[in-house]
Amino acid sequence: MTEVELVENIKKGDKDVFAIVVEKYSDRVFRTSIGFVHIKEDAEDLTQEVFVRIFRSIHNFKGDSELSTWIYKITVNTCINYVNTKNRFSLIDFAGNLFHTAHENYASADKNPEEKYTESERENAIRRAIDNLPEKQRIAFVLSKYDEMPQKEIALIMQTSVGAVEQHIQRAKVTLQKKLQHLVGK
Amino acid sequence: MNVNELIDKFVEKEKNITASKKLNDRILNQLERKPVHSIKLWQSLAVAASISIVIFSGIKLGGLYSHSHDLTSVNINDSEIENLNFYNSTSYE
Repeated sequence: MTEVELVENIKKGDKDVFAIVVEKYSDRVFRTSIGFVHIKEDAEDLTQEVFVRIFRSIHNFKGDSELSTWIYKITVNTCINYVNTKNRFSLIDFAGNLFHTAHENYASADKNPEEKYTESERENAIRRAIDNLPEKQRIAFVLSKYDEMPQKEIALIMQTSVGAVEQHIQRAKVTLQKKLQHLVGK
Repeated sequence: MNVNELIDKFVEKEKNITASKKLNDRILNQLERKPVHSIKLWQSLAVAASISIVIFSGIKLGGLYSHSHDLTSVNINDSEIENLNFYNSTSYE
């Protein structure tokens, strides 16, 4: 089945055909979501939301871009909206992260408490640094690192030039270097 | 280990997180459910207008009430009540 046929069938409401799309892209959407939210349960909720949006707004897909690019655009928008909304409730977020970290520490029983604590602190610092990147740098960073996506595709998703994407990624790396320099040698 | 390696290690760890096997079924089940309609602007305006009408009517109705001006006064001045001891007095007999 070609992509055009696939889309046409989904537009007719064929859920079996949509299941093919879910099967093909859910892992990638989940991985991108993890890059933005870092928590499995949240990433699963986001993945679900992305596919529900895709199904309900498939009529807006005109075929100007590839289906995968369109899916990624929806994924990125959904993740950014979620992250921005969540930031408004940062206290709840903080409590959630605390629980998440504590749970992870408890789960990794093969390390001693000091090692666990150091690693957990290091991971929290990296997570915070990624989350605090400016929006465009963060999108470019997540798509290139988590999805190993070529800059050309990232440019299509972000509706910008390849050069701009390269610049965003480069700036993200510099920002992270500065913010995380204190971790080296810990 | 330099910063880039730390970041790469962190990203690799997160990339190894896998979604639940039931996620795809969950997504397809979600499609069966009716979409929750978002509240439209006119609905919010209608609710706001109703509340305003109720408050305005309440104030208006409250303002309509005016108590009567022909007040009947009750004398409660103790000093004007007749002293009962006067009637009990033996000398009065």
